[in-house]
Amino acid sequence: MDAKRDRPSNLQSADSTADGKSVATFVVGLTIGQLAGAFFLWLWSPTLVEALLQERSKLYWFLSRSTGIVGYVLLSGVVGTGLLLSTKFARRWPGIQVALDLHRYVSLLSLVMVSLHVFLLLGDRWGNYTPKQLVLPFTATQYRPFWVGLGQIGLYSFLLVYGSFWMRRWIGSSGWRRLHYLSYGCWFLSTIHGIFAGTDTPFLVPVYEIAAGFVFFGLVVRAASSLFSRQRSLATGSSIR
Amino acid sequence: MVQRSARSDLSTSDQHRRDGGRGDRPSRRQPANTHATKALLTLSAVASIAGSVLAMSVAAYHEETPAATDQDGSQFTPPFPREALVSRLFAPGRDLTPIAPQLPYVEIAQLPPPPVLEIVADTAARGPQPTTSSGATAPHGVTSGQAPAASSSISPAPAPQPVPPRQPRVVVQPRQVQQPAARTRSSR
Repeated sequence: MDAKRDRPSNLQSADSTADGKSVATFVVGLTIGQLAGAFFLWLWSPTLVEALLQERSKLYWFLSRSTGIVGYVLLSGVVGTGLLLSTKFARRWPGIQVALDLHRYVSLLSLVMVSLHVFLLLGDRWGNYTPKQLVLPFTATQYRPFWVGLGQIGLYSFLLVYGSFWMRRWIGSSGWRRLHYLSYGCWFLSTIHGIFAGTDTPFLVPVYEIAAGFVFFGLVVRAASSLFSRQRSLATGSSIR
Repeated sequence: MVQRSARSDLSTSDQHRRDGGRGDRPSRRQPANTHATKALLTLSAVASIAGSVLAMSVAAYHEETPAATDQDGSQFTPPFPREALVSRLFAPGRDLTPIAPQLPYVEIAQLPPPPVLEIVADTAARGPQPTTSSGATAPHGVTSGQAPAASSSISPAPAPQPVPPRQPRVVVQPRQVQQPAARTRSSR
């Protein structure tokens, strides 16, 4: 039964190849874009660039915070749109295939931002994080280890959910779906991590509110859609009998 | 037939779930605007990061830079380099002299009050006498906006040889002398 539900393997391999190309294009494009941005910033204000690149500069710290914020916003968008994907909204506009493609792309973008958020901390001379501390949860004792650790677990769950796109041929649709429920936990852990470990929390309260509102909206629509479709299918089944 | 139509009547949600969330169209064709949307999303993300870094830099600069004291004693934070450039470019009537580095502002704040104030105070104290004498010659066309009459009315002391080292600061004097002259004119 599961084999029938799964898509043909040739389509899946085509998906994987296209995904590989998409990831490569994305990484190359992002690198070129960032280099071009740095060059234009230098043209615009060399003084500013010099100030940012000083020995005691906080550029890594600023970049880490910025990528964390952007990654969180994108993650909220991914979770919200993922919820809407399984309703009629996405089918009407912009269409399942397009919506799914964008959903996966924004997931990748968010994952890159969150990974940058973590690994840019290696360059921060004030935090002095070691690679081991960044990889192992709850080991970074410099700053709020518990809340930072929750964020690390959130990242691992995000990696697992994103990796499930490629693991689907082995774990099947039901496994893939079950794994996708982790995204709720991932989003929740990220939110908690941002609120309690973030240094910009006072300024980001509206961002958290909007993100939570969007995800909550997606949940409500998803639940309502599921309930409605169940009732409809029950009614259809009874009329067939 | 009945069963097939019933299946097609199933909700999109169920159908989508049956497909494992993959949708029911196997075609990989995508509209061109999907790529444009992706590019736009990526650009927005990068621009957001750049904007955040700039905002954080400005905020940190204002937090960490000690307040400097202006010549009139008021406290101010030296402007961020970029802000200074923008304000100079867009503020009307400003000269486009090169922007000084930030450090001298702090040094000025640490210096003792400049002696030029004493010179001005002395001049102001002695001011009314020469202005009064020049007040008689006001019908020569001196208006309120003109300063040179006041400067010409002061008989500068013959500069001894050699030239005193603070000569550049004395240049400020005529502008300061203008005030008592105007007051005298308005009081009449």
